Amino acid sequence: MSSTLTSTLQSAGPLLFASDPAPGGGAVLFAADVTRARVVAFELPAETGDVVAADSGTPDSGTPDAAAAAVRVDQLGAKLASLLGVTPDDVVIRGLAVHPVTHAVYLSIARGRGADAGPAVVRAGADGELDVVDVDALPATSFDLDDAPAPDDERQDFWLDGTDTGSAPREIQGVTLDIAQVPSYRSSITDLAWIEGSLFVAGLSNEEFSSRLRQLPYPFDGSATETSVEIFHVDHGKYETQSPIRALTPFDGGASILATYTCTPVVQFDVSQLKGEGLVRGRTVAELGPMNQPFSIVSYDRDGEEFLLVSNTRHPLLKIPASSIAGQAALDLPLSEEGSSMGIPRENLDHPGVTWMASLDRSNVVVVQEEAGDIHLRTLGAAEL
Amino acid sequence: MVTELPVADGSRVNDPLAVWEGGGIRVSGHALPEVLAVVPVSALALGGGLQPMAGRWVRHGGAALFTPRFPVVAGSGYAVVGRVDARQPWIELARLDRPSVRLERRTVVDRIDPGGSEVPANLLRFSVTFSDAMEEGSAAGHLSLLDAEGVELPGALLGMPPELWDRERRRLTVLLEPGRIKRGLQPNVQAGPPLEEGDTVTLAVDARLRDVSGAKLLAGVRRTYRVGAPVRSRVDPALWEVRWPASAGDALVVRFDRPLDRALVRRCLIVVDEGGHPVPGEADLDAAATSWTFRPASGVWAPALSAPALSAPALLASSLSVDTRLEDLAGNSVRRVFDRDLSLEGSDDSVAPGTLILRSDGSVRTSSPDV
Repeated sequence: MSSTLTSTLQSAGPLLFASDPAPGGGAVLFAADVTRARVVAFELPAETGDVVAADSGTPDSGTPDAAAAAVRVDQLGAKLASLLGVTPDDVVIRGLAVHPVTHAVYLSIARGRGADAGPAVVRAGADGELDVVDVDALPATSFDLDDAPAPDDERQDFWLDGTDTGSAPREIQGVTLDIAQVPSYRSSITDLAWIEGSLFVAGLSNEEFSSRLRQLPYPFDGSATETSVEIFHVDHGKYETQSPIRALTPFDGGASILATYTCTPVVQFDVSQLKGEGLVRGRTVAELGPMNQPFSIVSYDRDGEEFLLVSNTRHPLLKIPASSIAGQAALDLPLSEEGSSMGIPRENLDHPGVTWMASLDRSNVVVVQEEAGDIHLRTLGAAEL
Repeated sequence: MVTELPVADGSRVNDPLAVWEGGGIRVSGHALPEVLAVVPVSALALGGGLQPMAGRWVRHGGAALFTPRFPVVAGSGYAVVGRVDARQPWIELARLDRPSVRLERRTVVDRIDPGGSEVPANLLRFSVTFSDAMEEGSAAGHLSLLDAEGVELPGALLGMPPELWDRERRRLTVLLEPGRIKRGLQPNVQAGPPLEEGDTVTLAVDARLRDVSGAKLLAGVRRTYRVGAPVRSRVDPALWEVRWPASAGDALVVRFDRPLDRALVRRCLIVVDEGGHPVPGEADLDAAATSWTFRPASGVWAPALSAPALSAPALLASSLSVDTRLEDLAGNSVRRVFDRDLSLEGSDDSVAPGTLILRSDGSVRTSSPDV
């Protein structure tokens, strides 16, 4: 049987748009091909005005002040399965990104299993319509990570997000977690961030200090700055170099990165320190609680103030004021010790079931939300956050 | 439960008719509606919010051919739906099942490593290479280590998942329980080492592993080994016998002092030229993983030899780069012993991580990983 599987990508992984629109109103979509340890940059042409204007009435200029149309797709899981011709069990979201000009939402999907398994990129427009993005037809460039773990690297990573078919429920200290043990190359790329013309790629490397933050200039020129990163893990009570960043976002105008890890430290890195030399220690500023894996972290503005949101497998959606981060001394005591701290304040938000998130604009966040046996695409405005 | 859509003519009739054609669906009948779509039967529950499957429709006369964007799934049911225009409700026109495919068993085990007849008592891993790509997740419970009587040695192999497949999913690495190999660790103290010197053991791969098409193996395979003395010393390239090429076209032959790990040999040994660049050519490791031969691609070393006066120095400059991560069958690497005896003073002869360069003049040079 002739296969129409997309060939540009072999596996589904994190997605991200370069936040600056390309000349002519196009955009650059980065897709992580995790099993090949490759980042592919697709050049999307400008979309036509009617698509943009479907809900908002006027074409979006892409300026920060333009009100973006809220994207909403109910029964997203069932619709993605139908679009891709499979049952809902065979659809797993592995990434979410928002087009910087049209505010259409792009989803990275692992579709099917066995011989027919493969990645797909799906676009959800402001009108709620779903379409498969024909990435093979787009101009693309790619960057292969030279520091990724080999497929037979015997080190492992643990996923708690239920996105691996091999995950199984396991009870730990009375809490049932969905745990998958995966070879470390499956975590070669865990998240992407865009900061002033550079793509930041978090994940595991083949080095002894395996947690890495790489910086790739775009357009790709073959160069990369690869920095091993170390953090103090409050729940584990020790410094760690092996656990990968699960989600990261720039904040403070791009001067800093806020990264979150499983079980669940939140760590600040100065972008200026990530120079590819030695082992850089981040500043652990919060402990969000054990037996949990963060899905996404995003930054948004409310009433002129910057906040960060962290979505989680087990803990609620958490809100952190960005202004509290600068003054927080590095956490370096295990929770069991006297004087230990959970760090900066956080607030639980009442939006249960939020998993993947991406910024629609500075005051709206697109989320995938589990509710009533399916998942739904919703837009949460700053007023609700 | 599946919500039923209205069905054409009040019954699930076969008019319009839908049939499989290649990987697609051909729909024919009188007055097909203007808008047609295919959905998995499970997605009919979306009712009014029906989401058509991605694909392309071509209308030709009274028929329409749907070519799906992604292959349809064997063993699944699909429905053809239609409506007059976007304001009208969808009507189910036909259903058809994609038959389950009869799976052809043709994948075999190409190789089991170690490839020799004897393994050290502190053997760390086996690897099994298949003739075709395999389905990840099918290996658990289908590999076992048996004693001389054919009885499984419980807990000898490290439990899966994760399954350690190479990128092509053709080679599976199976670890012996490292906690039982490292002396003094609780599993070693309580259950003893998995292999005892003098025993005979058999690695059994049963036929129920599935290849990427979902088919089982053509046959199960077994390989039997004598268990020899444990090996607890570093892999020392200074102990290797190296036969450097004497003239153009000659092979570089390295005889190791012990069998090495096949996958790591492939990754860790690189013939480099004077400038440190890899020399193109073909490397071959014998079945016992003790003898490694490198044949340069034709013409690679010849230019230097064409000027007689320069030939000898040019050849002497060729070097073998050895990544210190290279391991033997027991997990001892060039860097360090896998299971060092902490009670022996001065037993730590570990070397820094990086690369060793063996040169044809017999010298050994180290380079740190950052260079």
